[in-house]
Amino acid sequence: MSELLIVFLFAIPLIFLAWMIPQKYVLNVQIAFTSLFLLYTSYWSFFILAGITLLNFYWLKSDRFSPSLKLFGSISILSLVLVAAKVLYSINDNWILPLGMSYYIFRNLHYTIDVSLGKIKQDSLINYLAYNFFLPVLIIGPINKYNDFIRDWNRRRFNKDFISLGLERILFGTAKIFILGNYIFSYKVSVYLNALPTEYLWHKTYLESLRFIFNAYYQFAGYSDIAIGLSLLLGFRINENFNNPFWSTNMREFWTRYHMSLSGFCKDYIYEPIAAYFRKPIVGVLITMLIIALWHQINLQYLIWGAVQTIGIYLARYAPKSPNNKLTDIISRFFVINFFAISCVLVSNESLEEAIVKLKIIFLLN
Amino acid sequence: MNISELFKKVHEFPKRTFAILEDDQKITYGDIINTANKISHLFVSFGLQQGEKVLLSSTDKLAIAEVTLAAYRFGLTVILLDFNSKKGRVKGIIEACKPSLFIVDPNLLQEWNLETDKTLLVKRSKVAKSVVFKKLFNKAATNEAVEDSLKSFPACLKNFEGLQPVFPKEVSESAIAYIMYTSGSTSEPKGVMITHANLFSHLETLKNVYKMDAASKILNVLNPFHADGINQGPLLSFYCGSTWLSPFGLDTTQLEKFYFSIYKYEITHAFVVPTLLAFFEKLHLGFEDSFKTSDFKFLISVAAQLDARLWQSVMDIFKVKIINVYGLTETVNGSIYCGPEDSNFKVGTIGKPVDCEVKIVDENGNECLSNEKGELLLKGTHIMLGYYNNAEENKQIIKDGWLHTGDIALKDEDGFYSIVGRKKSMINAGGFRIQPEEIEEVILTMEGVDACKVIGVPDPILIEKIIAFLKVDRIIVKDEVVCYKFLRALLEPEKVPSQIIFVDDFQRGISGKIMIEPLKNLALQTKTLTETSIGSNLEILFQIAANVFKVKPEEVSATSSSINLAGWDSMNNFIYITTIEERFKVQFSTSEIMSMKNIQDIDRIITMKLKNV
Repeated sequence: MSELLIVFLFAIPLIFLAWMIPQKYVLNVQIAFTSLFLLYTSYWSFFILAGITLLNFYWLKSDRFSPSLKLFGSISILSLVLVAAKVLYSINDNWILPLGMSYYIFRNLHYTIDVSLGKIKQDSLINYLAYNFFLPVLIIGPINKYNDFIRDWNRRRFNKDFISLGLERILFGTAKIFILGNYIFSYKVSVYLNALPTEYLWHKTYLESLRFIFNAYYQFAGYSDIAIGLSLLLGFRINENFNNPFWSTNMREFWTRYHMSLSGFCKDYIYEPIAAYFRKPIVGVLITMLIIALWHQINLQYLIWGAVQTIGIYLARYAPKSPNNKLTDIISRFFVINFFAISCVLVSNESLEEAIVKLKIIFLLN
Repeated sequence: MNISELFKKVHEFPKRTFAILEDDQKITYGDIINTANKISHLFVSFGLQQGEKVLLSSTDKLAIAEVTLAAYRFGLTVILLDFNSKKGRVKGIIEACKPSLFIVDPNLLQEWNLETDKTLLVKRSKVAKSVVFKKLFNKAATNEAVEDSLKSFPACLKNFEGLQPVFPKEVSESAIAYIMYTSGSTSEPKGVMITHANLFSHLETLKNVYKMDAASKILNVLNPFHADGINQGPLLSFYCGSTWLSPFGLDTTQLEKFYFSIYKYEITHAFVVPTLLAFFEKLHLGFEDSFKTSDFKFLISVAAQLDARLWQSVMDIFKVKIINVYGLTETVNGSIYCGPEDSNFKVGTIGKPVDCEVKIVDENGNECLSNEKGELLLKGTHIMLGYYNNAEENKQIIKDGWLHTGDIALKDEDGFYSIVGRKKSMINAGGFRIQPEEIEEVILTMEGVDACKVIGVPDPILIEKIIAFLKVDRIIVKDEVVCYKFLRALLEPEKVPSQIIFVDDFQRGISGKIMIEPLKNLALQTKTLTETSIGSNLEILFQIAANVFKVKPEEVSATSSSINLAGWDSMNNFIYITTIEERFKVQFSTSEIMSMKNIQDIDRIITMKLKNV
């Protein structure tokens, strides 16, 4: 909450300035404001992001090294920084993950790979800095793509529709976080569940699993809406992060509609090369889901959670294929919601032992 | 509406934007009228009278728009000449039409050997800036600088600040608005005379067909020395009270500017030529949504026949409607329009006529039935007055008010017209209509050339590519590179042949005319060097470059680029890239092609791609 408030405190003057100053200064001002925000909220993150941006830019631009060495070197360093931070976070209670790091490391991995593939024209440091120091998406995504960002920058103009749509998204996002997330699913439903008598343990445990995923969804989707809204107010269109995921009829579809910028990134840069290498899509899915899991947090609970998602995606091949049958649609959606909710019991509890106890209750094994 | 009525009309909205040019320079209607008023005094100071001619040639798009509009209002005839025109051609034109005033870029004064006292040099930014800086620093401008500024445009307009315009009350409808020279390199320039009646009746047609109004934003970056650039850009905008956008030059190596501009400037109509659409088809990845804006209406393809496959393909990629216009310089711009109405739209045809009569006649002058081929004839208020001082040609081309286009067409049962061939030997190279005789005339001036023939053969990018066949009587000129150096010095870039083939002799028909078919077969059989080139990647790139750009291999280096290598224009750049793709069996992405600035860049990308393969 406090970070969101600080984002607004920096974003509001930035938005006004961005439309008042000449276009040629807009990126510089945006970089300056985002830097100030980071220095204020997480100066470690500022130095890491600034260091990564400068090093990666000149490393990839250098003519002294072979393209494969540049690709390998950049991916290794970026991954190492992220893994080190996540491991420290897992083993040391006092360590706080630098703000937005999970997102900006993935953004830079995308940049590195696409530069190597020739998909990105490595033209100017200012553009790259502006891409990395873009306040709206900095702390919680979406993981936007460099070419989309530059395209919008080149097209940028004042558009009343963007302003009204941006304000609308911010309003929706705030409502999702505060009304649906904080008030209903974090407060009201929790109070109701805690008040249930002990003989309703199964109901309580099961409903708690549903509460957890809906709360997580509305919080996260709310933040994404705000990020998209703020971007629109600055004249940029950012990719959507959610597309009614609980309307999916199987887990494969679910992962194309839930946290889309992360799943899209993983599809392009992890799943496809691995599936192509092993000629076995399921191996690609397993490794991809494990990476998505560990991206959230490096521990055994998330590792198992990732493996369970793989099973869900694998089972999708047996999902009924009758799109016009309302009954099968309802049953399929019910399955998806429950599969995801129950799998998330693994990560919503403090320890794996605690999670196993809850799962035993849900599956009537205690 | 005529020119004086138009000037009155635009007075009503002086703050409305007339044009957005390079560096987003915004020109309002108030600005353009104010400048035109001052230009009227400039004309008087040169002693110009109605009916006299002004020759205009500059890279300064604004100066072209300003002078053209002021000249029309003053009743002068404008002769727009491409600044790339060669001395021989310019000399022929000047001798033929005797302009009273030249407004040209400084480099053209010497290059074209113009009379100094009749010439005004276009020096917008430099002179203006230097005078401004001197004022800023409170330094008196030197006499030389002041004198220089008085001889240059637009600095010279300062003398007429605040004066009432000296335009005539009306300009006769039969007055010649402009003469557009379509061909003729040395001896026989052919100038199309367009009257005010032709021009303004046609602008009304275009406004209606394209559904333009004051809110329209017209992107036209085509060459303003061609009718489609000037008439369908600044003039059409002025006529509609809308905005003309030309914020960058037509550069196919920077297509992203075109794509970005659609949303950025809220473009409603964009003019293209088929060659540009071929580039769109090739370089679209990541830009497919460029025309999907709430403002954009359609692309308008002009200047050349649009291939049905390319047409459909670009529409499918970008999900945008492309309307195709058939017309000639002799008809101002258009005559037959395919779209935008669905009832007028059939891909592969040129559509249906608007505001003119059309008929297709056989060799005996009888009107053809449906689906029968014949020559296309046009009649309407927009048909030119005739060729300037060319009574003989005029008799041939305009008979009883019917313009004989020389194009072979047919009309289908639904009333749609299609062009199926050409009666004349015109070549359509990248949207430029080129008379082969014009190139032959220059080739024959080369020492050692005994005979030659220039033809056009179909090409996927250029529509048609120019091939010159040379019969030489001395071995000295049998060097392609020497020939190219000679031709580049005398011909505009678009007229330089893509290929030169040396022949021992020409097969001739009974009448003694050179037979075309054997030459076409020969062109197909002639393998280019690029297909057989060997060596390291960089060496192969040099060989391909030397062959495509027609330079000596030793002139090519890793740092060679469009800036420093002769022949590397944006059209040839694309041919170079596609040839490399074929040779190395790779496919470049849009951003890769756009990031290639020199041969070194291309080598780097190829090395990377081949490693990935």
